[in-house]
Amino acid sequence: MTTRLTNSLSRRAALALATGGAALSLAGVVPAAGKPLDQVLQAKRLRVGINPTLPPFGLFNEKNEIDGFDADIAREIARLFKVEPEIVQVGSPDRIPFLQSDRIDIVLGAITRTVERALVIDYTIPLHTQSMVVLAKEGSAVPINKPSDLNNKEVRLVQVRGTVGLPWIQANASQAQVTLLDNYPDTFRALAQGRADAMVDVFESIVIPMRAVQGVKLRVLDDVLASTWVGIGVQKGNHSLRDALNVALFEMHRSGFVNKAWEARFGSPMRTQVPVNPMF
Amino acid sequence: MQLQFGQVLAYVPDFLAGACLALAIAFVAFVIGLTIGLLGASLHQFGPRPVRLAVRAYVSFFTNTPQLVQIFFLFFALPEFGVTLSPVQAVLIGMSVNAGAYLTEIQRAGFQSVRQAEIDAAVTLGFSRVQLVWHVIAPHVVKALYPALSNQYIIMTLGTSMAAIFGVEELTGRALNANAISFRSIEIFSLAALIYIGMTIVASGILFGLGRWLFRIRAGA
Repeated sequence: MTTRLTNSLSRRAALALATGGAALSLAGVVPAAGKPLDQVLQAKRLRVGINPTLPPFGLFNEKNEIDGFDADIAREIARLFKVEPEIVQVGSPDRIPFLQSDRIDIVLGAITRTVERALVIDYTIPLHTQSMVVLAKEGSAVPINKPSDLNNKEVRLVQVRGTVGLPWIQANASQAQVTLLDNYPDTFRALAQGRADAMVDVFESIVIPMRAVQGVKLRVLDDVLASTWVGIGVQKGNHSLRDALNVALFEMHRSGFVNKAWEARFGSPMRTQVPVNPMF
Repeated sequence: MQLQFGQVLAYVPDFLAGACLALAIAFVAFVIGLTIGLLGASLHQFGPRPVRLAVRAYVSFFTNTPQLVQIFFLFFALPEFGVTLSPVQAVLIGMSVNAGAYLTEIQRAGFQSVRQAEIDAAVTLGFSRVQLVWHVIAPHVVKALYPALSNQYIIMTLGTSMAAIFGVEELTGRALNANAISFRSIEIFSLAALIYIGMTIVASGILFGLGRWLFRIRAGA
């Protein structure tokens, strides 16, 4: 009987490996070529991936259409390219597969530039910056008045999974207890319900969601832990599109379009300005 | 696009730790659910009418609402009533209670399939209700329902992936973290899928061992 189980297990293992192997080899034959600029111009449309759960970068407006700062930028790029913008909804885990499987031409959504990510996608020159800050709750058990106060095993942090605050916490506040949740509403609810004392995130991602929090007082500490640079993502190797986007972005920075759209959506100027630099 | 598995291999130990946590959560929730189910099926079989109705209400409530919503309630709504469960507690309780409802239903069917002659024999021998359930009915249920129980257990093992939403760092949560850092989505999720396949094989093995050890049951017999 044990033999029968072993047989059945090894049959299952073989099947599993075969299935897994098939999935992997399928993934390997995804077309390698990016959708170059010519195809965008030929089709007369620029397909833009935007995450609508990141207000004010991406959001659903009252007509239930995707709107926000990223949509403003996408529409302006499409106008400069003389093509139609086609906004495609993407989420945090699937935005890169969308790009790689050629369902979108470019991806926005406050994608912080890192070396590791630059091995997978190509970035344009910076579109905007973000400032990493500490958001603390008034009246927490451990007083949090400066970033170094976070490195204490009594401090409970709550973070949105996959955001840039995590590497900073691992490096600078490794003693703190960290809970990772799925999205900003859940994270702010956890703060309000007393599950956590603070969070580390970019000011630009929390400024709008934190307004909806009721019942607790939240404050942003003055210290800026780091500035991060955000570009537009294109498929690795799609240099024809990236180069044209770079020139378009330079013109959008120089004309003041980016800052104007930013101030209209955020209500305040970008904390760290992107220098207008013709060399890129 | 070239897949670069070499770039994500460093995550394997972290993912395996997440897989162990997922297996542990599924195992504990399954054992608690099995116990709730045995109790529920016994009460439904032998209890007075109000108790039978209560069991039926429990089963129909928990099998007709999504598990995700049940756990969401435990995690985010209970604090409004002064009860704050940790992520692991909320997921464990939610999965156990949910599994308890399904396993009550599965075991009830098993109870009804026990031959009357066996029950009569046990009663003649002077078995109490508890002895009857443990020595006559339960072994029969485990034996007859091994495939159904095994399915439920596999569903629960894979179902632990939603624990990531509630801040439990199991395999899916860790895969999402790694994906956000590396952007190597296809490599990361393929790796996670392979580990899940391994987990279901381990989970089947655990269940087989458990049935054998508790009731001297042989799978497939």
